[in-house]
Formats: sequence, C-alpha cells, structure tokens
Amino acid sequence: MKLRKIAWRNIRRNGRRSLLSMSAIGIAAMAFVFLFGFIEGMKHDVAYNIHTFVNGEVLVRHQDFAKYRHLNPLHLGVKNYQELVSNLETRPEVEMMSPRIKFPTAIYQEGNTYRAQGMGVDFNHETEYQQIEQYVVEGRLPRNGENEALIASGLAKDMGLEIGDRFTILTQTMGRGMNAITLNITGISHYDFQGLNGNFFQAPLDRIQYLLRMEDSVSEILIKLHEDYTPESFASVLKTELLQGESWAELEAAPWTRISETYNMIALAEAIYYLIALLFFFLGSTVIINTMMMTVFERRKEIGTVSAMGMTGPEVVRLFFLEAFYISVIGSFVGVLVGIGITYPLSIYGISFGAAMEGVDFEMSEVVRPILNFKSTIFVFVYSSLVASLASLIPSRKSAKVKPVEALRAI
Amino acid sequence: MIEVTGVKKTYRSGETLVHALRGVSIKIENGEFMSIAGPSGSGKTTLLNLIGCLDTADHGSILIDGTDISTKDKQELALLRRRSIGFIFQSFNLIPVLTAFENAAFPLSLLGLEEKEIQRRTMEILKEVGLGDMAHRKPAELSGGQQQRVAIARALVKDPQIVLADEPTANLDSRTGQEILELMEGLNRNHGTTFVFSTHDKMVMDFARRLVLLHDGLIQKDESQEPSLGASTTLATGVSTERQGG
Repeated sequence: MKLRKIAWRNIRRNGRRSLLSMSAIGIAAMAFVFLFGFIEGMKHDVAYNIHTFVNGEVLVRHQDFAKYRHLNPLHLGVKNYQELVSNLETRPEVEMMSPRIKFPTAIYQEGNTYRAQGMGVDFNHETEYQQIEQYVVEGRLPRNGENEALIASGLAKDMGLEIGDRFTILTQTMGRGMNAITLNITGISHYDFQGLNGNFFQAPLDRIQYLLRMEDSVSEILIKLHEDYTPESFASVLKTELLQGESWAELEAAPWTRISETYNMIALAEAIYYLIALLFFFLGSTVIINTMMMTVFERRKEIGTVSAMGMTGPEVVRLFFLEAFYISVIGSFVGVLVGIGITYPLSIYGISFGAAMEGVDFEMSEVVRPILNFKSTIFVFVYSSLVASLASLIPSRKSAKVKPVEALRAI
Repeated sequence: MIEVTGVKKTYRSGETLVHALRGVSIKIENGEFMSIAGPSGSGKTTLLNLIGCLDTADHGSILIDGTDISTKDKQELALLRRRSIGFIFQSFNLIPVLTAFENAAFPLSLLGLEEKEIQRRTMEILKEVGLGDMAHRKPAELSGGQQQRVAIARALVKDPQIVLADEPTANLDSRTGQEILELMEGLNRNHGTTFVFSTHDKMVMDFARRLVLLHDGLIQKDESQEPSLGASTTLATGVSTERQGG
C-alpha cells in the first residue's frame, strides 16, 4: 500500500474540510491568474500606446530636448530628418518609423480661447505606424501639403466643430516669433487611449514645419523594431553607427524602457504583485495549516498505530505532507482553471474603465484586455502549490513528534 | 527470546507520579502463548508497550534476542517493530480508508516487498483468519470480530517474532472473543509465533498456557497452566517451539 494512495484517500475522510482548504488556495490562485492576466494586458496596452503614440520603441531626438521640454524647444530638433529617415529605412532592425513635431497651441474660436496639443505628422507614415484610419470616426484623413486637420472628438465637442469647419491656431515658431494657420477639419478621431481624445489634433507635417519655420527639421522620430531586436541594443547601435557627423551628433537614441515612467511604474507594480501573491498564498495556506493541525490531532491514534507497525517519523511526516500536497495541487489547479474561465472572456471583451480614465495622465486605454499568459498561469499554479505545500510542512512535522505510546492512548 | 530484567517505569499523570512498573523481570521464550493479567492500573499495557519498543524503561533492561533495546534510537526501534513485532489492539485500530486486504498488507508494504509477494502472503493470511472473501471490504463494513481478525492478519502477515495483543477481546462479545482467542491460539500453533496478550478477563487468562499476574507494577504470579478452553495441550513456560510457516 503506497503512502500516496493512503494520503489520497485521506483527503475524502472529511470532504468538506478538504474542500474548504482547497477553496482557500484555489481562490488565491484564481485571483492571481486574473491579476497577472490583467497586468499583462495592461503592460501590453501601455507598451502599444507608448510605442505608437508617445515614444516609439526607440526615440530619436536632440539630447537636450528632454531637459528643456517645458520650454517648447523646437530649435532642439532633428535636422535633415528626411536623410535620416532614408538611412533608417535601410536598417534591417527598423520595422516602421514616424517623424513628428509636437507643439502647444492656442485656438481662438468664437471669442473663446482653447489650449490644445498639436502634432505634425506625415499621414503616409501614420497609415502604417498608427494605423490611423481605424481611429477616424468621422470624415477622412488630412492630405499632406494641405491645410487640413484631424481633430480629437473631445476637442471637436468642446469647440462645437464639425467636419468642414475651420479653426485657426496660434503658436510660437522655432525662432520664438508668433505665427498662425487656419486648418480645415477633414476628420474627427477617437482613440482607445483617452489621452488623445481631449484637446488634440493632427495636421500634415509639411504644413506644421511651414507654420513653425522648422525647414527640414522635426522634433522627434519614433521607431518601431522588428520582433528579433531589442530597443536597448538598437538604440546603442544607432548612436554609434548612424547618429554621427555635424547634423546628428547631438541626437540621442533612447529606448522606451529608459524614458517611460509609466512602463517603469508598471514593472515595479508587477514585482510588488508577485510579493503580494506570495502573501496571499501564505494566507490561503493558513487554512491548510489549520486543517493539517486538526488532522494530525484527530489521527493521533492512527499515527500511533502506524508507528507501532514500524513506520518511521519521516514516513509519517510524508504521509501527512502528501495529503496537504494533494489538497494544495487540486486547489491550485481548480483555482487556475476558474481563473482562466474568468480571464479568457475578459481578454476578448475587455474591461472598460470608461470615465475613470478621463483626465488621467497615464498611457492606458479606456478598455484593457487581460492577456492569458501561459508562463504566468503555470507560474501561479506551481507557486501556489509550492507555497501551500511548504506551509503544510509545519503541521506535518508535528506528526513525527507524536509519541506512539501516547498516540495509542488517544480516543 | 525476550528477557525483561528489573524494569521500572514511572510516568506523570497530572500532578501525580504513577509507578506503573516497580521492578519487573520476565523471560519470554519463542513460541509461547502467554497472558499478562491484572486489574486496571496494574501495569499490563505499560509492560506490553516496553516489550513492543513503543516506550522506554526508566530502569532495567529489555533484551530481544540478546540485543538491549535501550541502546537503539527511535529510528532503529521503528525498524525493529517493522521487522519483528506485531500488534493487536483492543479497538482494532484499522486504518478506515483502507480495505481489509490493504490493512493486512500494510506491514508488508513497509518492508518493501514486491506487489506479487504482498498479494500472495496477504491473501494467504486473510484466508487463514477466515476473511478471504471479505478482502475488499472497508473496516466500517465489517463486524467487530471481523475487524479484529483483520488486525490479527495484519499482525501476523509479516511473520513476526512476537505478537503483542493489548486486551484483544475487550471490545468483543464473549462468543466472538472466544473465537478470536481460538484463532490466535491456532496461529500460534501453526506459525510458532510468540503471542503475549494482556487481559483482566478471567476467561481470557485461562486460555493462555502461561499466566503472568501483575499487581501494582509487580509480578504476583508467573506460572504455566493447562488452558481451560481450546484444544491446546502443549506445555507453556520455557517451551521453545520451532517456527514454521512464513
């Protein structure tokens, strides 16, 4: 008769108690399958938003731009950008890129002044880079070379503008003079990323360069890489191989992981969640510890009997440990399955944060879709089984300390 | 052979010290069928526990085949019990989640025998105790007498040197109790296994071929006797019966 067979059957001796222990660890496992799926989904979402709208995977800009960014340092731009773009296009690492100019503006509309963030983009690039057409909810994309604009739904609503309306923007040029331009609204955009649905508009890059007197400069170039390449290594290669010479020596190539505070915050949150998971599994394990303590107490007579038959202390410990181990593994397994059952539909339909994300300066979309990650799901299963089993060693070891002669006297 | 010399055992019960054994000496030859009798608190169970290596004496020595068990550690004592000592308990102490077969086979599993051998020996002993057709029943599905038969099979299956039975008939009605005693006596005769059982029941003590009477932790009487029940006519004390079977 194998010990594991006895341990397995012992689980059913007090079915409800075993079920309670399994539930405790199962609920923790279920919660963490969902939580890690949610974190993974959030990471993926934030990474996509940062790569697409904020920094790219690698951001090429003037090395002092970040230092003076609050002063709108348009003079600290990427000069001769078209030549740089041509060079970048030949690199095998580069999948796509987006040269941009971001600038603050004031818009006068029927006696009111609105502050808005403008972005000059090459719509030919953005069709691929942002897949921008999917975000146009009304109208069409502006054409390069035309005084046209794609404005965010929030800005259109605030200003009461529609397709075909015009608005005039006033801004500071690269040489610190003032300039204005009137743009026709050809399209209204709505992004999942709430940060782009407020006071934001996009206009053709060449017209914005003209407005800002930037000639052949842009403020930054966002680069997305093919999957085989890492932003860190490409950024370093780019700096040493391409960003040299008179025009580009003052440029930097920054991997997004270095410059994105949000990403670093999520990475930190992820580490904290792992720690919280450990605490939760320990909490769940206390139920198993309690069950095993009661079990050891209740079965003292049985411990005495098997000891009398010649079972050694470590074998008795193994018998109880196996029982707790099975409870942990079954609880974790069922918990993980339920967790998958909850997370999977949410990964399709998403979790909407709706109004909660309005005004939040965080590169997260309105709807986050958890991602069921095989690695993290297996991790939750192994982690919860392991923590609960190890915790159950404490009461299991007590069984070896029971003296057979005293155990046999137990009622 | 088991030699108990000058054994004393005191244990604490709450605030009081209980002198369970006050200097007991006894020799048990192989193949004996012996009863340790006495009223409650006379030290019967304590003596059985000491002989069965479940407890250690405060004074004196216990030699099993010339080896002083006081020199052995917990692990060695467990292995000694595993190989050489079988136990039968008053309340049977079967493992409820195991079938009669699995309960009886348990000591052989501990010895690490092959499944085939375990199967053969277990079925053999279960048939011998009259439970060949109930091997797959759980203890809860058996009567008290049948459970005690399983416990006897479990004690005998490994062919131990000695079987210690603590009041084996106390939880049984007199007819079943007699059947159990007859079974034990038959097994003693067939296998040559030493049986030592404790009792305070007159009928049971009369059944033994040697009676040791304990009173207040001391041996009051130790004598061979003609069993009053059963078929045995073999002389008891000091008779060394060659072990058979296995």
